Amino acid sequence: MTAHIRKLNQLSRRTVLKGVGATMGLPLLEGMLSNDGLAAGASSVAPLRTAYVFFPNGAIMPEWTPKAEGENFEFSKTLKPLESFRNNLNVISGLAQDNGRAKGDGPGDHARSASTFLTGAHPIKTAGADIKVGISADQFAAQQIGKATRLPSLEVGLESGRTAGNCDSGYSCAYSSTVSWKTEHTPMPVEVNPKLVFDRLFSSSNGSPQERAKRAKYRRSILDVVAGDAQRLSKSLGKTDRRKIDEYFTSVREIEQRIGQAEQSAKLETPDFEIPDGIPKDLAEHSRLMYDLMLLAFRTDSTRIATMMLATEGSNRSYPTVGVNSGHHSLSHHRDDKNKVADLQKIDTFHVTQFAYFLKRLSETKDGNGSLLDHSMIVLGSGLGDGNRHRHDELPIVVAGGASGTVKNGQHIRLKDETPLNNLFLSMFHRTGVKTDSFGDSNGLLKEIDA
Amino acid sequence: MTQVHLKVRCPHCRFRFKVEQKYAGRIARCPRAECDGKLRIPDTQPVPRVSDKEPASQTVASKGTRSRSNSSKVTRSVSEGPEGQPPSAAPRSRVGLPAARDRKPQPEERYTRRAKQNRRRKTAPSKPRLPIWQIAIGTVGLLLAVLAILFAPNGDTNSQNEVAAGVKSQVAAAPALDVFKEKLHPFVTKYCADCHNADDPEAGIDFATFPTEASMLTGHGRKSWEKILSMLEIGAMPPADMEQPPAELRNELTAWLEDKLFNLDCDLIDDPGRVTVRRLNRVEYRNTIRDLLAVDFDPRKNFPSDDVGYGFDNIGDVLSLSPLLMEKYLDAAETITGDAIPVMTPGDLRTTVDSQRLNSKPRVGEQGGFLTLASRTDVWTDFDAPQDGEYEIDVRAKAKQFGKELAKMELRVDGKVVRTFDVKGEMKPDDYVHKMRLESGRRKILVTFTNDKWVENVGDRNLYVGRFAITRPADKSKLNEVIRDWPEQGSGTRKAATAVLTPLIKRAFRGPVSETEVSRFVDIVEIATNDGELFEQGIQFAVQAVLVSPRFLFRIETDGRPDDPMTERPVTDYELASRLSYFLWSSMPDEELFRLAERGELRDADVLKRQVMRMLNDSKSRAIVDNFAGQWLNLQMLDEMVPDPDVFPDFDVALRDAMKQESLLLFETIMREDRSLLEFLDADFTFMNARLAKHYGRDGVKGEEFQKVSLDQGRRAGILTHASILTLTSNPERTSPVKRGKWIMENILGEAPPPPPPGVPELEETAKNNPRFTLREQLKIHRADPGCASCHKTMDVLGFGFENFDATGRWRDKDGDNDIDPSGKLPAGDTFAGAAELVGLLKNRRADFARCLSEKMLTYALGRGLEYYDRCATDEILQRLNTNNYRFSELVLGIVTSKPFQKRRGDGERK
Repeated sequence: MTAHIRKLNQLSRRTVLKGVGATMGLPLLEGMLSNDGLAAGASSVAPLRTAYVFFPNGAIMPEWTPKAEGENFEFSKTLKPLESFRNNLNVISGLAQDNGRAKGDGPGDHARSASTFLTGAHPIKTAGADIKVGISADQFAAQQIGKATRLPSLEVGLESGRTAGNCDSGYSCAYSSTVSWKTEHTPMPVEVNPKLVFDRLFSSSNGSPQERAKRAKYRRSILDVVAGDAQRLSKSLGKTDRRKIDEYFTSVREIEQRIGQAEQSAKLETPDFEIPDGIPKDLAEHSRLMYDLMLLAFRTDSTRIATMMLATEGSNRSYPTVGVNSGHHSLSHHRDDKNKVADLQKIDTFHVTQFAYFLKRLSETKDGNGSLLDHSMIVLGSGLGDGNRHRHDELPIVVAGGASGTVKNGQHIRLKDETPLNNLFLSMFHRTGVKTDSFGDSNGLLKEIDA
Repeated sequence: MTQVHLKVRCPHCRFRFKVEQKYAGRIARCPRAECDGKLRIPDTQPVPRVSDKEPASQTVASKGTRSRSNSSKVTRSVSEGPEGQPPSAAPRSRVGLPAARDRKPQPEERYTRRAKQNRRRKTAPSKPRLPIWQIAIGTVGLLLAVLAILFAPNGDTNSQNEVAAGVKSQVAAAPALDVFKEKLHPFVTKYCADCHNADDPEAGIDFATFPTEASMLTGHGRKSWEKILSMLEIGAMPPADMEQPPAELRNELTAWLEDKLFNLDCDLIDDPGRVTVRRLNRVEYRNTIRDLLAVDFDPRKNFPSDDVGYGFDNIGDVLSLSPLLMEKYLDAAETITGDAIPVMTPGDLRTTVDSQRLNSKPRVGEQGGFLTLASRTDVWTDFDAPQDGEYEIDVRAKAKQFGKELAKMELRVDGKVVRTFDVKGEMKPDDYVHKMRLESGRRKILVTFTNDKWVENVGDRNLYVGRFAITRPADKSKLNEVIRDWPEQGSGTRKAATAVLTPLIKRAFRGPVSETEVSRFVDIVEIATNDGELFEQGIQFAVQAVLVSPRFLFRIETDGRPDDPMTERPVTDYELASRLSYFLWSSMPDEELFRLAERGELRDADVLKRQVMRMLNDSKSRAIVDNFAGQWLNLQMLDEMVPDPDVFPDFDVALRDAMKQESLLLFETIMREDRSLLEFLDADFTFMNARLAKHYGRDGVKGEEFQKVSLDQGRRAGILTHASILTLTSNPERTSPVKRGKWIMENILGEAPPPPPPGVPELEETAKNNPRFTLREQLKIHRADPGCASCHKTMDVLGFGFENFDATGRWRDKDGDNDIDPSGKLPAGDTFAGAAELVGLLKNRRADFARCLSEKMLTYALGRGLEYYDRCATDEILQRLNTNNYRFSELVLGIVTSKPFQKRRGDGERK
């Protein structure tokens, strides 16, 4: 165990996981497994975690897509940093999010890229009322299996949504600042401050057991009263108002459940995790911190479902950390300008490298009879393929993780053009115990990944 | 001439288009520039088509020409001249109606409006205008007669009946033409339904769902048709590569649609609309907490940002509440109540200074928690007393006795002896306690060993001094602001809690509350005190519940029949108080508003007016500057602007903040001094601090404070020449006339250009295809596309007028080596030499500006997007402004007394 901890320390450089092993070691994890509501007989099986990592503005596809198909393919320039995980991932080409296309709605491909990425639904073009797309894959799963953990799901990101105006040609900013939709009307905002993510994961474990119990007790009384308020109010409201108050009510219920979960796992202690107060200026550090937190969330079984937005869709942030000083979105309309393409490829590589760091951490974290990576399905991808042309097909998608042995890894899978990305989500659902025959515009399972 | 067309759908981007049949079976490229994919033209499905010779570009051109030829007549005949008197306000009274109706059939008066913000109202005063954007259209008199019937009120007054009768007789003379059935329906079937049908409703529009005129004008239909109309008007639909309708038919039908959709009879429409419950946004939450509990809590640090709709972040429909936010509300409630209702146990009040931290003179050693005083020695600590009051000073001590006297320990505070203790026992530690009043501030708490005795080889009297513990009095002053009633000994918790919570909940919920409602919160206090918690701890929990209650977090107005759109009512006095306070202060009502609401006096016209003036004068009205003006002018966008440091090395955060402040100060001055709104456009003064003055190249402004300065008349005037606006409408490395023009159209003229139609390449792409051309030349190419021309011919000209200002708003005479040419000619024919003249021309469009600003402020005040019927309210506000020199307070009063602000109705669409 000690050696293991030291290794972690070396890896994380700045963000030191001081003594995580000591407080958060395997015994605790297993202890939690036994009372986490898994079906009888399954308690020795580590749960399957899913994460969806989104990046905006598409990718330089010729540098992304491996030339060869099948096994033993050669890693492309952009995906090279993932090579050491060859046997832990599949590169999938040919997936599309058809509903990201205009369908007569005109410009706004970026808003549609993010809003369709996990929903496979066509967003209503509006800057104001009637925001509507579809429930996202993470939230759909969280509804069914999220109750098993303190947090049904975790939504993090590296860039805050814009707060002013439309974000893309008449689309509300909600569409491009999150990929996670709790209902077709309710976007889930992303948390970009690592400290707040940490608090969200572990603040309920602050204080002595007595203090925690007291806090939980009064929170529950408080929530009881206000949930009652909401229900009584709801009766005298019109239908639009009712929807808003229902949203409130749902949120209250979810937190009540979480308090219940926290009490059940009362043994959970706050991991000793050094975390800066603000948002790190260096993007690489910010990104590593967020991946560390996702890892921590999975490791402590605080949640099994996470989404991470590496930037908001249409983001125009620059990447000085890899020597790119122009805005990502401006660059993405490169018109085959060599320099711009080269800069974009650097940005793609940056994201892939950070993702490789996450996989590495997952693979080094013991979980049940294997590693966390063995018990995960982690999607890395964008809602746009060729960003220059706003293509919603030929999406850049990598799916990593052993999925508890249910996936055949090591392939570059070339699918039939226009295969809905939702087919992948449906296939993931079936592995995590989410029951449904279809999801969004799915038209089948992605059998190609089956073991 | 009959031609046969083939329908084709691009397999790559799914763009649909048609080609002549002769190309069947050939390989082609997708006409959509972004796609350009290769495809094979199929050779099935021929569609017979009557081709028309009117390409889109000609359509637009002809509209433009007509516009110009008629415009001068329009301007002079019905509106104030550029500097003229306001038009005699067409009264809202019935008497005004005949005149308005009589005027209607004048074709010169009619012009198309583009967006729903620009709806015309029959009784409205005609616009004074500089017809930049108008396209006058000849109209068939017959249509108007038909229209008049539709809108004739079923009135009950004489004058109304007369009007109606007059109209009817006209109609009787003219055979009615069912335009919808006989013209519009065939039109859409021929030109639109191929792509907008039930099987494949492009853009969500299926023309089969509009079988009748009524279906077009109700609910969702109206919204669709507003969109359809704007697409037809700018010539964006049918797409340029599709068959085009004859210009005359297009014009006739757009005019007819314009009339149907936007010429409202407010006596018939009369709809107050309905606001969705509004969650407090971050600013409102912060201010409300400040006014409710006197706690400053800044939610920007950890609440997720608020969703924005219609340009503002206080729109009920858009503000959502995720579990994440709910969690933040709970945490915030804990923090806030911890601050407002400090619960102090004795332990919390005690300050302990261990022996190691005690000072001594002469310096003595410490061992085992005690300093050894073998001779006369001072031991002290400097204690910061937080307030005046009764303190308890507790010194631990023990002694080695010798001789007759016990060891003595003198306690001095600030040099004055207050007590001398006999330290008893042989080396027996004890706590020596003295209670006394201390004044706030640094107090020197000191003990001295006063009776040292030592006889060599016989004995020694020593004193040992241990830790000091000082207990401050419980500061209930803060607590007493919230808790005015304390339970009597042993009982009365419920009574006291009820007394404490009732007024607080009333204020927090901004209206009356029943005993039952209060009792639920009292229950929480009781649970806590039964658990042995302090009363104030119970109150703290109860107030936490109040702060996360939906009745606090949302502004809720409940109705008797919430789902009946026909049931309408005035808002209650309390609801009105909240509407006022959140509009003007972004916060809850104050005592005075509550008092007036309770007495039922707030609706009184004089009272209301006095209150509005009082609220505007209050410093809290700065909220409308920061929140309304900041969002109207898009000033937050400045935060995202990073002018290229290579080109603009001087740009920094201080400058950016100063730019923002300048614009906000102009707004605030107009508000505080109740000046004319038109001064936004041409104020001859502004505000600068040293940083901004340096940027503008202006001498004599020193320091960080802003001061009022007069402007150089020839160069700058009003908000459009502020560095803030000029920067936020620029690209990082250069100006963008298009963005500047678009900004003016959206935020000053209220004519937001619609998003470019599908399939039209963006300007960026035009530029990238023609990299060697100047910006002006690139835009010229871009405008050659009819889909772009209709908007860009206005946008670009407006923007080029400000070319003397660089991308950070500094004056320049040259762009690189080229001289700046800031002159231009607006589509309607007016010419200008530069920004100052252009500002003058824009100011002549005072009614458009006033309407734009009124609509934006009404949106902000109501917290909802405007609907077509709100046109009636804005018309009245405009009239009011017109007759009152556009004074700021008149705009606010106009909004506050408007129907949508004063009334509400049940949810749903009115038939």
